[in-house]
Amino acid sequence: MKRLLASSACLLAVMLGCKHPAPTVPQMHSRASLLIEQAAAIPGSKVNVGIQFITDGGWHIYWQNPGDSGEPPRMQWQLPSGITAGPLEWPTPARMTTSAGTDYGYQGTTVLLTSLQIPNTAQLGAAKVSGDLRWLVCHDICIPQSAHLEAPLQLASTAITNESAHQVLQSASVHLPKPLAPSIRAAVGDSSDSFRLTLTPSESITKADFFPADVEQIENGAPQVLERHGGSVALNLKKSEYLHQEPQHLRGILVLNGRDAYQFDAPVQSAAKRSGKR
Amino acid sequence: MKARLTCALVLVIAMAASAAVRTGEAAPNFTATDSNGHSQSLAQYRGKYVVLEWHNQGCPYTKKHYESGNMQKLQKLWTGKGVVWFTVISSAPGEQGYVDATQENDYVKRMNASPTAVLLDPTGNLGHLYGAKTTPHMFVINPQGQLIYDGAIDDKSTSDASDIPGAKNYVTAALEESMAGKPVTMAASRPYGCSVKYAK
Repeated sequence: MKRLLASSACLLAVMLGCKHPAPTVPQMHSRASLLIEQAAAIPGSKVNVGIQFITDGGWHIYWQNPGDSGEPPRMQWQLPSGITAGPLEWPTPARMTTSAGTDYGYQGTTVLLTSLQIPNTAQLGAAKVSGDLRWLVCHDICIPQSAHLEAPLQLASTAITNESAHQVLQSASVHLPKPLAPSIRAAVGDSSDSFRLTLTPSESITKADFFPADVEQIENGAPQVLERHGGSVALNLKKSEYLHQEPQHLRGILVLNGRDAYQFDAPVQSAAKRSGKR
Repeated sequence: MKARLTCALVLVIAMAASAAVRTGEAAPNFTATDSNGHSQSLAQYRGKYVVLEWHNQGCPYTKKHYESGNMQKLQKLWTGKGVVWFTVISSAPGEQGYVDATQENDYVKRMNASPTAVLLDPTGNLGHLYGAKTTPHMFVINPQGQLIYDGAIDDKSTSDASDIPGAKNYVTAALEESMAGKPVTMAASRPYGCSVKYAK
């Protein structure tokens, strides 16, 4: 009690002696948590994991390619020896217009998915899955946030599902882009100022929207014009003014008919290369 | 003749404003008032290198470079070599980063910053003339008045100060190459940071 009084007095003295008002803690506009699909996992198995973000109304976080401003969340995993985390899988983002240009991100609830590989040799017992997460949340202004996330996982001879996490991860996986249907042939060509993404056959395609996975490839705010040529459609993507080196591949998410999201990765058949200029 | 020349100059500025500035071309002239009430124009510094640094003291990316001392170090290094360094604030009144002259001078003192001057641009005219998108957004102009760099401060587009030691600083690279008589390898890059808080 005495110590408490003494420390209160100290605090008071500091407060009174302070010339400047104490810096206000910036109000946090998003929260993050770690979800593990299993309460118990068997050595040698893969465990699905999600990083869930919830933003306040009007605030957003960013996709892996943030667009003209912003930056993607970054997770620094701290895992028990032998356990490894896979790459993050990102749901299809929304295109957002800001005063700096066009950004790609998410509002409301967003779950980034990945999986943990548990080695065969892992010892049974409690394992702590944790990591340091940094992310940026923006509205008109941006606030960098960070959090230490942690969740328990038992390594056991029988697997036990964590039902609530399982449900969140299941519904999150619906928002991931799917592999492009094998019936659709995709090719990418280019000219000096644009990439041309051709899809065949074209019958079922009335609208196409491309989200580039890499920064500085296409002009994020430029209209993406869809042209129809016989049995194909071509989506014209204006090259970024910051494109310094012709990419080997165009990677990203292709949304068809405003509804179906596909993973996209195709080599660029450069016109410059074809004509032997380079 | 004089009138015709003025007309031509006005036209050049108007064109630059509509098409934004491009590296390799003439940097458009401007006149602005600094935080000490002095008038500053680009033309009066012909013959010197000029750096423009778009600034917003509330922006996490600006904080990255000021709280780490990185921006002050650059200002000291280059103004020490005769470079003119203008910090430019284009935040509109009521927006993040807007400051009056007194507040800005307090900030410069507190942060131990040493720009040649801080240009107050609450109308956003100077920002729009150069197409400044983010804070920071850096421009380098050579002694002949040509824009030789337009873009990010460095190649690590994060708000994390621990990325600074491993980053390649594009402003330093442009100044070093140009002063050595070489062309600037990276003349334009995607600026990163907060959007400039222009009047809505």
